[in-house]
Amino acid sequence: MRTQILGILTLIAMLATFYAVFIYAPDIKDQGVTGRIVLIHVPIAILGLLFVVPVFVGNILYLIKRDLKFDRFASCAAEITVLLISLTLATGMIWAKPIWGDWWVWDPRLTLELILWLTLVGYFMLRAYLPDREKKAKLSSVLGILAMINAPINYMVIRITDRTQHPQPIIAPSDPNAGMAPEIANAMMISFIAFTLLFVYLFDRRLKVAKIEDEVDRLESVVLAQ
Amino acid sequence: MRPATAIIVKDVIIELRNKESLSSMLMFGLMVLIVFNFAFGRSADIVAIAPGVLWIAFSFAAILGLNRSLAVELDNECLQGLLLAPLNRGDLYLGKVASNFVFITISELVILVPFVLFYNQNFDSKILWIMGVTAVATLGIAAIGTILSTISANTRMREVMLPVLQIPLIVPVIICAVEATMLILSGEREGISFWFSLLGGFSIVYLTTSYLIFEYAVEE
Amino acid sequence: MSSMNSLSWLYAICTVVFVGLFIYTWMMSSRQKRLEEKLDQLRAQLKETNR
Repeated sequence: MRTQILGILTLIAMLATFYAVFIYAPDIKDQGVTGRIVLIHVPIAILGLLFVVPVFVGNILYLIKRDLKFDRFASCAAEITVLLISLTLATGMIWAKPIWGDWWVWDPRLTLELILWLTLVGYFMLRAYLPDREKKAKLSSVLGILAMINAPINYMVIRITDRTQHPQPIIAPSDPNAGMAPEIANAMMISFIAFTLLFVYLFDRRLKVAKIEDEVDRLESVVLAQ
Repeated sequence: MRPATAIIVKDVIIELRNKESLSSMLMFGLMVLIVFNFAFGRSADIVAIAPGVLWIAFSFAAILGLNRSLAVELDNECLQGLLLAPLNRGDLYLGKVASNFVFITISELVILVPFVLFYNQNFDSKILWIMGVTAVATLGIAAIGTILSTISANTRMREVMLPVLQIPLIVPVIICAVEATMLILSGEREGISFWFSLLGGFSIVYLTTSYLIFEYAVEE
Repeated sequence: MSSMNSLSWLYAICTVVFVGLFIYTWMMSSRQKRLEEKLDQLRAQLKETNR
């Protein structure tokens, strides 16, 4: 029931976003129509970083309580995060090519996103090669904690050693509020709310599926034991 | 502390007997140095890319060493034996880190010799500074690598899983090490201590965290 | 940069994002359906053997 309501709200919000992003908002100066991508890219990027938090929380809680529901919470959040970061990188690159002329720049933001992506992919690879349910949960939680410790260190080091010559990238996508028309700010806000709803909805559904998966596994082993 | 020391001694004795770990790390490091020369040869200033090449050689030699060290434990179920011993899990971890650190650092220091020869450096005080950076960075690499190799040992893919997990986590160490090496090779003394303290800081953070959660990685 | 050019990049982005999300949602729905069937099947099986 809760999921259905969430789903409908999401649909409404996404439709509102379509309108806001493509019709209501004016073009961003000097970026033409492509600039609108920012209205999708920035919310998704922020969400990607937000969704990392439940992963770590879930990992810690699992190691303390040993209840599989925390592991499910962590791994589903991780899946959504990978999805979000992949979309962030993809939309970022498609925006970058016409605006900066390059597909990729090794600036701090992008580099950090890439490393986070790699870390999470490693998390899933580890889980994939651990057939035992408890071991999978336990070892991936340990890995998750190590990754969590690593993240702020990474952030610090990569920012310190930034050598990119493009001044623009550091300012342009991240400070859209500098001298921005109010319509754009509003559109960004609508877009952010809609995507938050969307991904919370997807997270919710994914959690349900994970729960059923574990239940199926459990019953299968009961049946086999007979 | 005595149990942890016992582990180091055990590993050293094993290594002295067959020298597999050290020799494979050395050969591998040497190969990397040579291959990079062929890969870049005419097209790049070999001295300019030297710090990067050095640390690529060290990173992969370290992974090799970590895998070998783990394989030694898994053979004949030594790990189970160690777990049965009256040894605090955290101390077991520290012991393994120490022995990994010793072996990896020794091979890295030896790899520095062909590095100086092939990459037009001099055997002067700069090399001593590089040795210092190497030691501190390797501590961080050993700290993370030991717990990660224990984790990946549980998978079918053991040796391949380790680099996949380790490389994203080791990025800050490598970045700092390369920065420091670049500074040293270019002759500047300013700012090196900054990188040293960063590297030292990471090592402490990684060591502490892994010490605390190592028991979860090995419990049955 | 002509707005024609910009427009096509914009379409590219939207396609990527929405197709990606659509595929993900689709995969999840089908997995859920499949698993629910399996679950019912297993439950029925257990009832049988416990009788």
